[in-house]
Amino acid sequence: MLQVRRLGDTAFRIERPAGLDARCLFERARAWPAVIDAVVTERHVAVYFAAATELQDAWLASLAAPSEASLATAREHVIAVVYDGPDLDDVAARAGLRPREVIAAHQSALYEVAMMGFQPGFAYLTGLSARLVLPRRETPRTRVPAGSVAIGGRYAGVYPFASPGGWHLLGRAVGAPLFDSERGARLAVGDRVRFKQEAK
Amino acid sequence: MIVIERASLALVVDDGRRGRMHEGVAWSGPLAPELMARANAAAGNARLAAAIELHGAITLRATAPARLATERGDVHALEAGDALTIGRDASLRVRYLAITGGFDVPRVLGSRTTLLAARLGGAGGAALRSGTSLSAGTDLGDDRPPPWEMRADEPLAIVAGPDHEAFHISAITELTSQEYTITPASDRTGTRLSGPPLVRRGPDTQPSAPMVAGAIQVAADGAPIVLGPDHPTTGGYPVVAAIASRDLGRFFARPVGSPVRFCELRS
Repeated sequence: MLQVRRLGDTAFRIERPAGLDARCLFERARAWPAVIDAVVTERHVAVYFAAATELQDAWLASLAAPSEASLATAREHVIAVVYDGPDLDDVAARAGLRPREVIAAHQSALYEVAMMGFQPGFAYLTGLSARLVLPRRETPRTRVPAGSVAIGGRYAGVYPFASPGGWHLLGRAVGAPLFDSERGARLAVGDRVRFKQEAK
Repeated sequence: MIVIERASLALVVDDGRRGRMHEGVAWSGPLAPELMARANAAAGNARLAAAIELHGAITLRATAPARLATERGDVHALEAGDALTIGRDASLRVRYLAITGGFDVPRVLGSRTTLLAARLGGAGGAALRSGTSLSAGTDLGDDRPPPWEMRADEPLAIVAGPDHEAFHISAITELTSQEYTITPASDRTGTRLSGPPLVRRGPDTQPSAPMVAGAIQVAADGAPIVLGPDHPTTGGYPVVAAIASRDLGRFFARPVGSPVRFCELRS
C-alpha cells in the first residue's frame, strides 16, 4: 500500500506509485470526489480538498492501478533560446567544455516536465546532459530576469517571472511566454520540451 | 469610486485562486478570511467579495458616493470628495476594507486576488499605490459570517507531518510545549517564527515536495517558517507539521511580536 501522510487537515501527500507517468497520476488524483487540486512531484502526489476529509482506500487503489491504455502522446513544446546568458562561460569552464558545446549539450536533450512549482509556470525539467549537472551558485542572485533559461543541479528550467534564484543562466527564452494571465501555465507535468537556438 | 492617496502595503484579495497549484500558482487568498468576511458583512457584500487587505495605514478619497466598511463593522458613507483614513490596529497583523458591491477589478484566472510575485490579479497585478482608482462591483449578499474569535492567547491546532523522519522523534512535543514569536521577517509568502530551534536530523528533502498554506517548514537553522497564501507550491525544506485549517486565519491575524503556542489537533 502506498505511504500516505497528512499535509495539514485538508491535503494528503502520497508516495508516488511506480511505473505511472505524471500526467496519468495527476488526472487520476483530480478525478477523486471533492478534490480541488493535485500536485505531482518526482516522489509524491499531493491531493488537496476544500475541507477537512479522510482518504478512502478505493481512491488510493485507483491511483496506483496499472495503466491499461498505452501512454498517451505527451505534448511537446519547442522553446527558442538566445544563448547569451551571463553564466555561459562559467558553466563551460566548470564543465570542461567550450561555450558552444554547452549550448549543443543543452539543446540536444529531450526534456520532461518532472514537476511544476517554485513560481507560476515554472517547470522543473529532467533530461539534462550529465555533463551539465553542476551545483547551484554559492550565492544566489537577488534578481534573475524573467525569461532566463537556466540549469541547476540535474534540472533545466526557464524563469517565467523575475525572482531571486541560484541557477546558472545560459540564455533567455524568446517567443510565447511560459505563463500568461489568460491561459495560465504553458507547460504541464509530463510534457516534453526541446530548446532550439535562436540567433542573437 | 475611490482613489488611493497614501498606502503602505495594501492589496485587493478575494476567495483566492484555487485549483491552480499544479501550474505553480498559489491560492493567494486573504491572510485572515474571517476578518475579511466581517468587513464584507458590514458592507452588505457576499462573504468573500473582493476587499482590500491592509498591512498598514491607508488614506483614500471618494470620487463618487461610496460605502466602505472594515472588519470592526464600522461603516463609512462617503460623498464625492470625502477622505477616509484607516489606521493600523496593534492587535491585528492585517485589517480589511470592503466596499459595498466589492472592488471591481478584473477576474484573472478565475479570481480578483493579487499575486504580487506573478503580477496577477488585483489592481494591475500590483499593490495599491497613490493614484490607484477602484470602483465598486455588484457582489452583494447578506451572508452573516459564522461566529469567530481571535483567541490571541490560545494554542493553535497543528497536524503532525509529513516529514517525520527529518526530525528527532520529540519534534512535535517540542513544537507543542515551547513558545514561539512571530518575527518581522514575515510576508504573504511565509511567516518566520523565533524560538527554540527544531533540531533536524538530516539535510533538505530532495527533491522538492508539494506544499500547502499553513505548512510549518524548518530551515537549516532550525527556525520554523509557516507558509502563507502566496507560498511556493513546492519546496525543499522538511515540513514538521501544518496548522489546521480552522486555526489558520487566527495565526495569520496575529501581529508581529505575538507569542504563538501550538497543540495537536483533536478531531
